[in-house]
Amino acid sequence: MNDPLVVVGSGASGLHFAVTALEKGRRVTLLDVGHAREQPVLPDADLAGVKARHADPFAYFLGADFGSLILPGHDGEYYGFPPGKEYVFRQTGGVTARARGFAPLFSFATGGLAEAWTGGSYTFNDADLREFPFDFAEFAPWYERVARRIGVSGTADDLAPFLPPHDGLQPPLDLDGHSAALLDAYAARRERMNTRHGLYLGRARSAVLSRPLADRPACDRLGRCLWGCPTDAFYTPSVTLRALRAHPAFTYVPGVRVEHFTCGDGGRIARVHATDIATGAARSFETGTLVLAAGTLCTAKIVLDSLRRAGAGDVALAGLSDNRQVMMPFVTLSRIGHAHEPRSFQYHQLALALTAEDPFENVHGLVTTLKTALVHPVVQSIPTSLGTALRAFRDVRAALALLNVNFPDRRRPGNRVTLEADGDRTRLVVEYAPPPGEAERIQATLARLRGALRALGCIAPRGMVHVRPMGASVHYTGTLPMQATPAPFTTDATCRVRDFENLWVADGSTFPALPAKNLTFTLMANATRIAELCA
Amino acid sequence: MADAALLGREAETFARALAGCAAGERVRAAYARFLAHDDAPVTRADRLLLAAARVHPLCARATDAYAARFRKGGALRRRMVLLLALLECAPETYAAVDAPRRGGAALGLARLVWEGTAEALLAVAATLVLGPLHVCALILPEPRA
Ligand SMILES: Cc1cc2nc3c(=O)[nH]c(=O)nc-3n(C[C@H](O)[C@H](O)[C@H](O)COP(=O)(O)OP(=O)(O)OC[C@H]3O[C@@H](n4cnc5c(N)ncnc54)[C@H](O)[C@@H]3O)c2cc1C
Ligand code: SF4
Repeated sequence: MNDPLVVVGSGASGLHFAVTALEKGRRVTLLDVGHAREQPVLPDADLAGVKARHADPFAYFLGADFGSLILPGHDGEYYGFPPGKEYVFRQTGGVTARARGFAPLFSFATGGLAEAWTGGSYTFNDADLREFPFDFAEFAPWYERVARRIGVSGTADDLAPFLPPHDGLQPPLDLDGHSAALLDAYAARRERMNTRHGLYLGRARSAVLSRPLADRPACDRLGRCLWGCPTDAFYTPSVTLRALRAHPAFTYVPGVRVEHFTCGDGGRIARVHATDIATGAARSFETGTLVLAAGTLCTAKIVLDSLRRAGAGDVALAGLSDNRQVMMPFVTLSRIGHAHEPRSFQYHQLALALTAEDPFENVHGLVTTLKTALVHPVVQSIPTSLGTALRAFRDVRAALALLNVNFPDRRRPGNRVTLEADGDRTRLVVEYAPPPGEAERIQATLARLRGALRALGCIAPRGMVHVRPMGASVHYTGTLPMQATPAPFTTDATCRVRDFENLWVADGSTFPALPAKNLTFTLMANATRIAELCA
Repeated sequence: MADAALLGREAETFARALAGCAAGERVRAAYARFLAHDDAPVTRADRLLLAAARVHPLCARATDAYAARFRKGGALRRRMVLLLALLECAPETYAAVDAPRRGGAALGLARLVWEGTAEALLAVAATLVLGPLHVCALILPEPRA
């Protein structure tokens, strides 16, 4: 096939589709809003080095307008979003949303949301893939291919039944002291943890290099991950885009917002219509194969706008899903009084699974031990004077950790995306209601987790648990699901939208179910799979 | 709006109370820069607590111990948190906030017990002194601007 292949979106999904299509010999044009990140500063410095040497450390850590400063009365997150990553959530005119029961997040960045991700790279097992048109054995080669491309470190341990391993993994990073202590405590009580608490603990799979890969060095433990790894030891999609831009068959077109597509005479999509963001001028691009990877909500908007212009009336894309996330801080008593380790990988090094009767309902969590985060957001939540809180914090810092728990979600018809008129444009309407009994299920799960943590010598204060609003995890899926039975606004096993002969969707829209796992590694693997099948 | 010299002295006093270090020029300037544009309300109760805290680092600690219970979102807490954020970023002061503590669990626990006891005593003293004044500041009408 040599018809023009147009991909929309430079996130993890779009780029792994594009790179695979290029590997197959196709020419690829990638259209993107593409807000760009700034060059990393002081790439050789660790976090203390940045504080000591940066010309304006307040702007670097707190923002030029103090936007990352967390003052009393904040919304309950435990860290301010780093100023250097604010571009990831910078909005673009022309995409607005009204939401009920859902706090939608969009990214228009070069590289998309995963420019700010924490690198958790889960595999889905057969229970997770029950509603997908493939099982783990069929899908494993795609995981392997992406792992070799981006560099995923991890190992097969007690979590292997939940996170089936595949070839191409790098060995895990050395554990920080706190994570090692937790894993030791678990190993000493393994039998009881598994049978009595239904809890399995092991090494997280992370998109961070423990060995050099191509031109990227291994993680040097600079402790700057949250502010953006300056060496690219930590994978973000812009690493892939940088490599692609040197490819002669690849054309990257940033600065355009795709609005809709139109069909030619034979009913095939023939053109993609966009707005030049700088000038407001209309632009259009010829296409023979169109691949939408704008993120589930933006992809929905492009599809719905196109249908509306084609006179399809008011269409709803139903089944929007997302993982409910709960943040559970805890203290490991045996670590009190130890020195914290500023020179270590900042994100999670451990993962846990809590079993349920139906394995799809298993709950998964990532354990991040506290190392180099900013201090002021945490210290102010201790109910004493700040001086006392700071001194106490310095004694317990090496004992603090955060468990980020994901809950599974399923497609439900009421959770949907539609459009409404907004002057001469349209606005997304996102409606979401959690499943019945969700609050009770969360409380029961948290009680089990608290018990399991106690058995490991940890205390998780009830008052500090934070249930994040729906939408906060940005694991959006389900609006154009892959399913065997043909139906309007569904996709086939190759993620082709059944309503159009030449439209594929490469992002989370096509996932027919959402296990309690971070999904981006599976997004990249699936985008690679469908590019291999359709490009 | 308080003048720059007053804010500078305030920052120095609060820095001693928080981290036992001097704030220094860079932190003082950023502190004043933020507060010049901060439109959070400062009530009479806030002014009372700020005035008490400015007297001496120990008074700042005691007043903050009181504010932590009875005026959590007030101007004093806000300014203290702002200052802590600046101290942990500035080259001259970040080590006073960040430096790892050593000594193992026993010493760590002993330090925690000591800190807890000192905090409780300060909080009781501050409540006895500031409580009645705070109540008066709350119930008497604000003077017109
Ligand atoms: C703080 C944070 C931490 C996270 N941690 C993890 C983690 O540890 N593990 C994990 O698996 N996931 C994690 N995620 C989720 C992960 O980032 C997303 O699942 C993933 O990035 C989605 O990729 P995507 O390519 O499908 O979509 P997006 O990242 O949303 O990319 C969309 C792309 O489309 C472009 N675009 C959108 N609309 C248009 C338009 N109309 N015209 C042209 N271009 C358009 C945008 O510019 C962007 O490039 C995290 C997310 C956040 C925010
Ligand atoms: S610790 Fe983080 S910032 Fe440092 S090299 Fe490793 S991944 Fe990059």
